[in-house]
Amino acid sequence: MPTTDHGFFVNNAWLIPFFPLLGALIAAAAGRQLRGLAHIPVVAGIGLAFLVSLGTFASAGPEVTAVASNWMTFSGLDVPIEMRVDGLSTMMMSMVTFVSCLVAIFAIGYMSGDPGYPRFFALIGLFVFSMTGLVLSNNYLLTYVFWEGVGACSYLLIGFWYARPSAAAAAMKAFLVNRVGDFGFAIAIFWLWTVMPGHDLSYGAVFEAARATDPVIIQHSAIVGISLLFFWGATAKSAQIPLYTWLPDAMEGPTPVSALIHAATMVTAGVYLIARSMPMISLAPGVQIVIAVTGCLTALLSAAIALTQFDLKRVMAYSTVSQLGYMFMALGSGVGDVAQLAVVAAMFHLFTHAFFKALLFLASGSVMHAMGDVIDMRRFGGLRNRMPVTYWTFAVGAVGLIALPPFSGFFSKDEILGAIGAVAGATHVARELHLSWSWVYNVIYLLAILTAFLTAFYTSRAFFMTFWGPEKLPSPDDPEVAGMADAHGHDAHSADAHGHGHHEIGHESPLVMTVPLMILAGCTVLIGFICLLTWPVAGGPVEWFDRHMEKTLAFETLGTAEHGFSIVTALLGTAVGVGGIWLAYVMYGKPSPLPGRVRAASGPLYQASLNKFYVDEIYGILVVGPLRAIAWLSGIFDDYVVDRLVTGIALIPRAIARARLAATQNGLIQHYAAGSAISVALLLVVIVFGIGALAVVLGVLAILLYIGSRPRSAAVTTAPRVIKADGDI
Amino acid sequence: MATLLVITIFLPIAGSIALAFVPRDNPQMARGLAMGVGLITLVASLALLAQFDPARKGPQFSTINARGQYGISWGGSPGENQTRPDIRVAFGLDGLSLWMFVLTSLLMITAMCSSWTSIKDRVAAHFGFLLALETGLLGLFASLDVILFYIFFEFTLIPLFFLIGIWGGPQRRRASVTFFLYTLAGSLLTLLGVIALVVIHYNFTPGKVLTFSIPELTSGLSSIEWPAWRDVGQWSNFDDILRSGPSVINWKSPQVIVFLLLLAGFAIKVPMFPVHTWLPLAHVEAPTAGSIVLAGVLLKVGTYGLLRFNLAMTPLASLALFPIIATIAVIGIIYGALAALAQTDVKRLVAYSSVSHMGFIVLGLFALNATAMEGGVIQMLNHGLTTGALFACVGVIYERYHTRSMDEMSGLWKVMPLLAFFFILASLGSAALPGLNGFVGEFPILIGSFAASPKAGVLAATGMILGAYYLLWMLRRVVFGPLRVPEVHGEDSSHASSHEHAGDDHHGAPASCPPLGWHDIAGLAPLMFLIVAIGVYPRPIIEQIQPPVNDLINNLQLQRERILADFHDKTAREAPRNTRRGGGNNMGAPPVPRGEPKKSEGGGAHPKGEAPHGRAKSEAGTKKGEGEAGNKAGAAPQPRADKKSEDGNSKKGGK
Repeated sequence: MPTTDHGFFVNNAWLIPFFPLLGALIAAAAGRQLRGLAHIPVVAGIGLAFLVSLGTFASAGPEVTAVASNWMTFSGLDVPIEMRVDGLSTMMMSMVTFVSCLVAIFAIGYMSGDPGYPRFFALIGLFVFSMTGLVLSNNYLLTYVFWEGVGACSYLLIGFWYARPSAAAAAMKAFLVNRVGDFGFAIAIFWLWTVMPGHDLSYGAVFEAARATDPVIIQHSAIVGISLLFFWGATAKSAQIPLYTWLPDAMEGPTPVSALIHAATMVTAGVYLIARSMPMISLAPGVQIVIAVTGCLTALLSAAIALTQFDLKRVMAYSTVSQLGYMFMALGSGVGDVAQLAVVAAMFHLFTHAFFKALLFLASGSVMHAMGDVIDMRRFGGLRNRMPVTYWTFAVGAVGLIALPPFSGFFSKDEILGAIGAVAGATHVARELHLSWSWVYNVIYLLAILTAFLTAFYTSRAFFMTFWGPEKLPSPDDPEVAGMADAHGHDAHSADAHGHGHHEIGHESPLVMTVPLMILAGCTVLIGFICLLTWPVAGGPVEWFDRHMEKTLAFETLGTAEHGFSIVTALLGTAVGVGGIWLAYVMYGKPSPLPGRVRAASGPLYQASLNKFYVDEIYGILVVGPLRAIAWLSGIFDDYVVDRLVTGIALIPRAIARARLAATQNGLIQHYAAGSAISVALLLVVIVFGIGALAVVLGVLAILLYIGSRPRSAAVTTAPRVIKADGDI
Repeated sequence: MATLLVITIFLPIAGSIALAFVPRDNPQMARGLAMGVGLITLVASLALLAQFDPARKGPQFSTINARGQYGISWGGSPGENQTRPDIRVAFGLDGLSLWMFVLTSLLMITAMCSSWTSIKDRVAAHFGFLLALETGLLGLFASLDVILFYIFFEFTLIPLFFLIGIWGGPQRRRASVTFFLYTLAGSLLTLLGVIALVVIHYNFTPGKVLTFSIPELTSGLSSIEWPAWRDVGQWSNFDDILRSGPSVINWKSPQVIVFLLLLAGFAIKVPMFPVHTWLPLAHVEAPTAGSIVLAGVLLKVGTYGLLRFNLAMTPLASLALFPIIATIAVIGIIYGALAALAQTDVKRLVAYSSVSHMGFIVLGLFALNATAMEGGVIQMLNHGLTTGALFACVGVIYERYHTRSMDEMSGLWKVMPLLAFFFILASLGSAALPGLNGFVGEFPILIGSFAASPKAGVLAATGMILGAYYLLWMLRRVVFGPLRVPEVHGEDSSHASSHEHAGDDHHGAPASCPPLGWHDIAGLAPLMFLIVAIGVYPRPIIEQIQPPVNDLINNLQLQRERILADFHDKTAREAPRNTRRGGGNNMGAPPVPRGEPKKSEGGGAHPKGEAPHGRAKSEAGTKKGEGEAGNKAGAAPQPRADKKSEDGNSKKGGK
C-alpha cells in the first residue's frame, strides 16, 4: 500500500482512536486517585480526537493511510491495521467525537457523586475508541472487531448500575440480540473470505471484485447472500425488525449513555456498514428492496409504539428506532441511478439525527436529573418555568425531529423522501429490478409520510406532557405513583445503585449540563444550512455535504441522477409535521378529556401499542422459551441418557469379566504361562505379518472363544443386575 | 538448553518428593516450598520460551545422539541390528508443544494460589500431587518418543486421581474412579493404535526401521509405500467426502482403524461428545486446583494427541473422516452450550462450556486448512487461560460462600469488585469478544471451517451466540443484581469434610466475604494479562505455531495428491472396461499412467525383496475390493465419475 503524504492529520489518523483510548486507560488506572476528576483525561482525549477529526476533514479522499501493523497473521487470515480516511469516515468521526465530547461534558454534571464515576468515563473513552476504530477500519474484519467492541462497551454501560436487576437483564439482552446480528455479519465475512481472491477483506478489493464482470470473481448469488447477511448484522446494531427489541430496554443505562450510544452513534453503525457496502449491495437490487421494506416497517411500527409510551426515554428510544428505519429506507431506495442520492440522504439524516437526538436525550436526562430519576411523564408536567433552558433546547430538538423548516431534520428527511420519491417515479427501476417492483417504493413513500405524521405527534405529545399544562412534580412517597413506577422497573432499586444526591426536586440543571444542550440546539438549527452551503465547482454548484460524500471510496461507481428540490415533498412533509403538532396540542397541550376518549375508542389497538405489540412476549414464546426448554432437556438428557449409556457400556467389560475372565485368574501358573505365550505369539504375528494379520487372528480367536463359551452364556445375562446392586462404578 | 529442558520437566517431581519430608504440622513450609519450585519451573519454561527460535524446523532443546537422532536410547545404543526396540528418552519442544509447556507451568501457579488457603488438610500431600502432575504434563508435552509420551500420558492420571479422590467434594470417590476408568479405557486403545503405528512403520519402511521416535514416525509414515495404507475411501477429491459422507470411507482400511484407535483415547480426554460425561462430574467434585489443571491443561492433552498422532501420522484417515469428526465437534459445540445453559451450579456450567469450546478446537484442527488449524492450536492456549481463570474465580467464590449454586447468590460486584472485573473479563474472553484472546482463536477456526464446509461453519458459529448466552447468564446471576449472600449450610457440611470449616459453620448465618487475598490476585492477574495481551497482539504466538502447522498441512496436501493419483490409476484401469460398455464416450479420458511406475518403484524399494505374505495378501485383497467397488460404481453414475477425474486433473494442472 503506497503511503503518500496527505498532510499531518490524515497521516496520523490513528490518533483519533488513540486519544480516547489513552484517556480511558488513565481514567481506569488512576480512577481511585482521580475520583471526581476522572473525567478529565477522557474529555480531553475525546476533545483532541475531535480536533484531529476536523483536521482530516479538509484533506479526506478515497485513499488509505498508513498501515500501522498487522494484527493477526494467520495463514490466509492476515489482518492489516489499515485506516481509510475518506468522505464517509471523516464525516462519521467528526460527528462521533463532537457529540461524545458534549455528552461527556454533560455527564460530568449528571454522573457527579456516583460511586462508579471513573468506571463510567473509562467506558465512555473505550466506546469512543471502538466507534472511531469501527469507522476508520479499512477492512471488514477490523470493522467487525470494533463492531463487537462497541457492543461490549454498550453491554457494560447499560449494566452500569449493576445492582439493578432490570439493568442487568437489559445489558444481557442487548449483548445477546447484538450477538445474533454479529452472527450474520460473521457469516458474511466467512463467505466473503472464501470467495475473495487472496482472502483480501479490504473494502476496495471487495468492491472491485464484486463489480468485476470479466471474469466474474464473485457470483451474483454470493453477492446477494453476503449483502443480506450484512443487513442481518445491521438490523441488530441499528435496531431494525426483527432485532430492535434490545434498544428500548437499553434505556436502563445512564441517560448520557442512551444519548451517546443508543441514539447518536453506536446504533448508526449498521447504517454506516450498509452505506459503506453500497458499491456491492447496489449490485443486488433485490436486497435493497428488503432493506427498504424492513426500514419502512420498522419506522412505522416503532412510531406506533412511541405514541402511547409514558416513559420519556422510551419514547425517544422508539423514535430512534423509527428514524434509523428512515435511514434504511433511504439506503434501500438507492437503486440504479438514485444510488448516490440515496446514500447521501441517508448519511445526511444520520448526521443531523445525531445532533437533535442527542439533544433530546440529554434534555430528557436533564429532566430526569431534576425529577429525582423519575422519567414517567404522568408523574411530572408543566416544567417550562422551572427548567427554562431544558425547555427551550428540548423544543428545538423536538422541532428538529419533527422536521419542520428550517431545522436540520427538515433538510435531511426531505432528502430521504425525495430519494424514495425519485425511485418510485423512475421508470428505470423496473428495468433495474427485472420485475415490476417499483410500486413497493410508492407504498414506502406513503408510509414514510404517515410515519412523519406519527413522529410529529408523539414528539409533541412528550413535549406537551413534560413541559406544558399545570405544574406537577413527582412525590416519591405517593404510593400510587410509586406503584406505577415499579411497573416500569425504574427507581425501585435506584437508591442503592444510583447515588447522586437529589436533595431538591425540580431545579434547572447546572451549567455543565445546560451548556452542551445549548450547543447541540445551536447545531440542530444551523447544521442543515451549513451542509447545504453551495460550493462553486466545475460543472455547477454542489452542496457542501454532497461534495464531501463524493470523496468516499468507490462512490463514483454508484449511479447518479439529477435531482431537484421537490416542492410537493417538502410541503407534504411540513404539513404532516404541523398537523401532528396540532393534534398533540389539542390532546395534551392543556388538561383535556380527549386522550381518555381516544384511548377508550381505540380499545385493543391502544393496548397493543402500549404493550409494544407484544413483540417481546412473542419472542419469549417463540425463541427464548423453546431455547431454554431445549437447554433444560439437554441437561436432563446428559445426566440421564448419555451418562447412563456410557457407564452402561462400561459395565459390559465388567460383566464379561465376572462371567468369564474371573475364571482365568485362577492362580494356576500354567494358565498364566499360556496367556503369556499366546500374547507373545500375537505380537510376533503382528511384527511379521502386519496388523491385518492380527485382526484375522484375533477374529478367529474370538469366534473360537465364543463357540467354546456358549453353554455358559446364561451367566452373562444375570451379570448386569449384580453390578447394578453394588452401586457406583 | 537440552539440560534446562530436562531439569524443568523433572524439577517439580523432585519438589514433590521433597514435600514428603516436610513435617505435617508445618503447612506454611509446604506451601512455600511448592510455590518456590513452581515459580522456578515457570521461570525456566519462560527461559525456554525466550530461547525458542521460531525459524528453526523440528523440535528444539533436544539432545541428539551419535546417529543424529533425537534423544538418548533407553539402555544403550541398539547398534546395527535393529532387533531390540529402540525406545529413547527424547525431549524437545516445537511450536505445537511450546505454549502448552508454558501454559502448564503457568496454570500450576494459579492452581497453587487457589489452594493456598482453601486446602487445610494434608497440605504437603496436596501440593506434592500438584507438582507430580506438573512433571507428568510437562514431560508429556515435551516427549519425542511414543512410549515416553504414553508413560507420561498415563502418569498424569495418578496424581489427579488422588487430588480428586482426597480433596474433592461429597461425591469425590465416584468422580475419581469414573475419571480414572474412563480415561484409562480410552488410553489403552490409544496405546494399541500407537503400537500399530510403530509396527506398520517397521513393516513398510525400506530397511525395516523399528522406531518409537515421534518425528521419525511422522516423516516415515508419510512416505511409506503400502497402497492399502492409502486406501481410506472411494473418493476422487475432498468435496466427494463432504457430499457423500461415511459411505465412501473404507472402514477396513488400516489407516482408518488406527485412526479410530488413537481417537478413542484422545476423544475421551478432549472430551468429545458423547464421551464427555466424566468431565462435569470430575470438575464439580475436584478441588479448585484440580479443576484448573484439568480444564486448563489436561483437556489439551487430547487435542495435542490428535495433532501429534491422528493428524500427523494418519493424515488420510483424518481427511476422510472429516465429515464425521466435524459432525461430532459441532454437536459437541451446540450440545455442550445448551447443557451449560441448563446448569445452576457455576462450576458445572463452566465445565460444560469446556465441552463446547473444545468442540471448536477439534473442528479447527480437522478442518484441514492452515487458517483453522492455527486457530485451533492457539485456541488450545486461549481456552486454557480463560477456563483456568473462570475456575479460579469460581474457586474464590466457593471458598467464601461454600456453595456454587447461582440460585443462592448475586451481586458479587458489590462486595468483590476486583473479582467481578476478573470474572467479566474471563467470561468475555471465553465468549470470543474481539480484543480478547478467545476471538483470536475462534475466528480463524470458524472461517477455516466455513471454507472446508459451510454447513459446519455456520452451525459452529451458532455456538458463538449460545456461548455468549450462558456466560452472560452466569454473569447476570452471579456478578450483577442486588447483593445476595448465601447462608452457610450447617448440616450440609459434607463439602467441608476435608476442610476445617465444619466447626465454625452456623446454620443460617450469611457467609462472610473477606476481600481477595494476595494469592488470589497473584493467581489470576497473569492470566488476565495474557487474555488481553493475546487478544491485542497475537502475532508472536502465531509466528511460533505456524511452521509446525504448515508442516502438517503440507503433509496432508501431499497425501491428498497421492490418493488422488491412486484414484486416477484406478479410473485408468477401469477405463477400457467402461469404454466397452459405455460406447467409447470416454475415449478422451486421460490414460493417467502416473501411478504405475511409482508402484513398481515402490515394490523395488524393498531391498530385501521379501514382501511379507500378509502384505501381499492384503494388497491383493484391496485390489479386489477396488475392482468390485469400481464395478458397482461403474453401472450407473459413470459420466459423473469421468467428470470428476477430469476436474481432478485440471485442478492438478492448475497447481
